[in-house]
Amino acid sequence: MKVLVIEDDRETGAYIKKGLEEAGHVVDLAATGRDGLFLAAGEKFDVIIADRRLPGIDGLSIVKTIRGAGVMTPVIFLTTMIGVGDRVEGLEAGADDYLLKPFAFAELLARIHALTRRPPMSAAETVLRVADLEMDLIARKVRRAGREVDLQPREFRLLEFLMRNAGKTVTRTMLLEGVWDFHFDPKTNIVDTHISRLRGKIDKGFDGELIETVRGAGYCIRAPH
Amino acid sequence: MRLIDWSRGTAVRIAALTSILVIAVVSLLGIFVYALVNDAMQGRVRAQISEEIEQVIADHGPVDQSKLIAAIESRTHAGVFRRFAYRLTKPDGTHITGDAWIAASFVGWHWQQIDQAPDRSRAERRVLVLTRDVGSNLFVSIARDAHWITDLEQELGQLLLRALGLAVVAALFVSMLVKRLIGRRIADVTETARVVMNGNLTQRVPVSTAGDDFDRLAATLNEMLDRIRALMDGLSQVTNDIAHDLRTPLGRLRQKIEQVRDDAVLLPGHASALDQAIEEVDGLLATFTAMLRIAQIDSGARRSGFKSIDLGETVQTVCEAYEPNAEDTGHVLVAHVAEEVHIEGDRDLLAQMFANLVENALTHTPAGTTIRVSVRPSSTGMVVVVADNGPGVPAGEIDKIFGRFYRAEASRTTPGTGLGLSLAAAIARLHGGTITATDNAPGLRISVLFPTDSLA
Repeated sequence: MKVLVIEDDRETGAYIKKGLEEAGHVVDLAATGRDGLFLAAGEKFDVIIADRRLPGIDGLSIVKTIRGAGVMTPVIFLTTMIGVGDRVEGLEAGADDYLLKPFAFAELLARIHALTRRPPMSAAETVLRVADLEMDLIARKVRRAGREVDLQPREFRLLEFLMRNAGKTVTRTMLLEGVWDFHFDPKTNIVDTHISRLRGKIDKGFDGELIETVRGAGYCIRAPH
Repeated sequence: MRLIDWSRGTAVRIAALTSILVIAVVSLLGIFVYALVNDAMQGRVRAQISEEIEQVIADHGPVDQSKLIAAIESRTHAGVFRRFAYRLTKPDGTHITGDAWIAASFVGWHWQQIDQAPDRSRAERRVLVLTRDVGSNLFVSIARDAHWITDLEQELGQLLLRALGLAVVAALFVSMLVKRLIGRRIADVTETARVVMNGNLTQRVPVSTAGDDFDRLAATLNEMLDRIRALMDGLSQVTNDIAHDLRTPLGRLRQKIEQVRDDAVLLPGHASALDQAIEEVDGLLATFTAMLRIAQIDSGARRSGFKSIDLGETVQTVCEAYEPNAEDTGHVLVAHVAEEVHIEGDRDLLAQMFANLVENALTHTPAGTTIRVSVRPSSTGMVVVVADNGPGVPAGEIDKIFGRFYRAEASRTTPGTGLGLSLAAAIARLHGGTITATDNAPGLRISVLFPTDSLA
């Protein structure tokens, strides 16, 4: 994948570049908003990672400008700002995701993957499948190996989020945001507890575990090897 | 929203005092005039009667009963339009001659109420009677119709009542004027103070062109607000700088540790040591994040992003999120949400506030504790209560739990920043709400009141 990183802090920029290259991506690094905007508007990227605060043209203006020019490349904002109002502002400007610095690198990777390899979801698609696990979005029913599994509404949403990102790692923060709409870091590991409940229902007593723990990152649902 | 409670305002008190004073002065003046006039009138009648009685006695020389009889009879028969009535009696009340209706049983002045006056012009009237012991066992009484005094008294009374009425109206008018003039100026100051208190530091007290005391007060207050704003701007700038300056190197530290953990060939035990180091850094970052959030929330900057939020749904979501954890730690978490309640607010922050309150209860109470979360209406707004039946907080410390970095003695060893409840309090303040901690007997009860005007 081709990634554009717009980051004025040299060390952070180098860290992101190195990490992404190790993960097998091609990275262009821009140190100013002006360079970033020039690259973003001129070349084709799979994803753009932009610092929210940049000298000269800031991240918000870059996104507004390229969206105005019809460039729909997914954008992830990086920010040191704490405010949730900033998050809403960034998303309204046209950014697709938002990450508070400092972050675990796995978090950034997971978000890039979630944004870029999003499978084309046709509107007619009403059933999600992972191996022998089946989720009917209309009837709100879940079956594993033909056996119906009874889920609480919140467990259903958690499983749906995992299945929509099947094969990809989703982080705890992504789950907190996507399933509960929580944009803060709870002290309690509520995600792990909910995942363990969910495992008890869809993995326990079946052949092969579908929900995998990705060490240092999060969870992933996929067919067992 | 009412700006001033009129029944207790200073302007109203001044106005009421003025009115009472005016009414009192007018009343006193009236009573004085009334007494003076009445006295003068009665004095004249008394003088006339005294003069007449002297005349009767003087005309007829040394007291002689037959002459007196003659004198009184001649006067009694003087005609219908005579000014006085006369009577001659003995001290024991035996009538000798004259107008028998005069009460002459004792010596001196008295008022007499008679059913029918001699001229029959009125059904009832008052006469003034003077009875004098003229010697030789004889009493002479002379009466004078004094109805005109009564009439005058009545007219004067009515006049004074009218004057009093006028004074009351004038006083009320003055009161209204004072209330409007002073009350409006005070309301301006009150309103500005309220807006500033709610976080809008740009609001200023309006200054009129009159250049009066209130304008000087307003100008001084505005200068003060300018100064406070400059200080606050400086402070938040410093806070943001510190946050940025400290978070950035901490972030790099985290990056470096992460890189080493992922890349390097580590000796046994080093990987977990590095994981612990990352956890420590994350803890520090969490503390900074919480501090910055409190500062940012207290500056009121986020109010602009307020939307209509379903309070009940938010509380319900938070409780659902924590329910499995509560079960794992042996707690019972019960949510009771009465109905759909919308308030103007920031959903992200409200969710964090409720999460902090629930987490606080879960962290600081032993297994077996029941935590009840409820949303219900009260007379002043909507109340969200998080109550547990755990060990509670010592009475002397219950007010301190919302202070920054407060840790109860018993919970020094449990993890946490000591900022969770401070953050909750800041979020409540941002929403115009109040957060209070009380003894749940046993346990701790934290209530957040969202006043009626924040309800959407």
